Amino acid sequence: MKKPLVAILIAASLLLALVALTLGPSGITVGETVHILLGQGSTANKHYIIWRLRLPRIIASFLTGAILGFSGAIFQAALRNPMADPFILGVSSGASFGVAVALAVGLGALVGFPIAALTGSVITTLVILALSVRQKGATTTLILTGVAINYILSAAMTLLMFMNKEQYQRILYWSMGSFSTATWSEVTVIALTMVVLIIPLSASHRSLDMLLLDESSGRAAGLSVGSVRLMVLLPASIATAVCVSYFGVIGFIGLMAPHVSRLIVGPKHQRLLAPSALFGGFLLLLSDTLARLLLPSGELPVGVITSLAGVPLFIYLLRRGRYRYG
Amino acid sequence: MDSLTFKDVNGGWGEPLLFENLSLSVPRGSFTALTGPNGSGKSTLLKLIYKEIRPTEGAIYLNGGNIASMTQKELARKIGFVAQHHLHEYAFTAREVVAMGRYAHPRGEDDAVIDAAMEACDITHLADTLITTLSGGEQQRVILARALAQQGRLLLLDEPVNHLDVKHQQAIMELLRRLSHQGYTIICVLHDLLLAQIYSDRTIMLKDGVIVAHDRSDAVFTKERLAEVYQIEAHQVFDPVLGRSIWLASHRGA
Repeated sequence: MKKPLVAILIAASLLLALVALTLGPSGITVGETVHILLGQGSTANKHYIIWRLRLPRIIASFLTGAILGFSGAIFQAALRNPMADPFILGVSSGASFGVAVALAVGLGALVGFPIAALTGSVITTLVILALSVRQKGATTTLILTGVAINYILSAAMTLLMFMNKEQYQRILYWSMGSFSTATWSEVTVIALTMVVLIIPLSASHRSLDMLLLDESSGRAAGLSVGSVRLMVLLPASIATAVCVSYFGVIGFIGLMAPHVSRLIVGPKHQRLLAPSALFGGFLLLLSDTLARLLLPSGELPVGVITSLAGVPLFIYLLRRGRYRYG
Repeated sequence: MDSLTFKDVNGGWGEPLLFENLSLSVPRGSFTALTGPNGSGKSTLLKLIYKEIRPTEGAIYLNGGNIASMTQKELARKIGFVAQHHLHEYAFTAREVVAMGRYAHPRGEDDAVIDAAMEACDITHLADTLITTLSGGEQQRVILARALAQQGRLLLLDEPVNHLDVKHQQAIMELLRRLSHQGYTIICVLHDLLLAQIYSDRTIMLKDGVIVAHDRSDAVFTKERLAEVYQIEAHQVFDPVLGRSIWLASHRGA
């Protein structure tokens, strides 16, 4: 099922991308979109809309969804927890806290949201992983440490926002997630993140399967449980942090994409990782397109769409029966 | 020749250490039952062998080699382990689970080894069945096949028949007995003293981290020792099928 599913998801994503490129208030037709993409003649205005506004946004949302979907599968395996998502180790609260601190100390404009968010989320994740190292990265310790740090950072961020009420709107809007300002340079960074941090994790598919065993069985079968867990969690966390720093916190993709993929291809990671990434990319591109088009003027935060559309679908799939994480 | 040797081992979770100056030898090809009351150190002793816990003093030797100098993968190629609790929440097929036993091996002859392990455990017909849909006895045979696929000659089992009905208990224990006849060294934690007496040829009896007895099983089980270690009264009955006497806990009943 893997190959047909991967082919179907790639074809569906390309088709969706073409639709997303075309739809909008500018009255561009599908034919014009194809011509512009092929470098053939059109008005400068339409060329600008396709190449400068819509295409980077579409690629950014797809790649971000792919990173979140892939990372979700990694987190669920590494933490042996079906409720895990890429934000469980403090990436989102760390990013939000980083932005809040930068704004509070007046560095917001100087360093920019992405740098502040990336710094906050990477430091938070490293602190959580370091605190858990003494327990060799035991899953319960990791998850509870993540939950505790998330609470502390949320409280600290609330306090900072309470003290800087005028900045509250900016942080809130950023944290809800948006691709409206995506640029080619951001697309380049996200693509490099995908190539350098995410795709190499595919080679760890056997170790990820082994992590789903109980720890004693995994260890006795030759898995260095603690170090393998850290080696897959660290790059997935940093990749997620890069996405969050640019486009905010986008919930549910990282949780749902691996679960839906597992329903179709089963839990073996050799078959699971590619569909999780592709399905995550497809869902986020679809959500972002809806966020852009649903309101007659302005945009909805994309995180609202992923949750509003995703949760009912997810509950339906879970209730369809016989679902045991695969 | 001894398969496994503990030499003056100190170790355990936290302080004080459960084991102090623990020494023992397990002969190659033997079927050893590891018995003792709850908390006596049976599972901890197995954890020391597959390196979930490291000794603070002393050394453990497997076929003459110090396990401290072996990587986790090297060790996994010499031992197989069946855990006490193994939840299977993820819907792998039985064959995929058995194939996980090949993790420590370079790719190559995996298929033949997996086939042989599944055949030994009589689960070939379940190859494509999801493990989440198997009965407890079938799951246990799949887990045992996974341990065999590691191709170690030492098998460690932590209460492998605890949640099984009598028929499945019998099937697993007879399978272990056959494996020991084929040359596997088996160390099996057992709470059921009856099974220990029936199937094992040697027994290690532990109490509070101390080896109270380690000998042929018929020599380990005595009225006095069961009273000392388990604080129970026991009586001996003759089993006509086995053709020998075994010790039973004396239940008074209603």
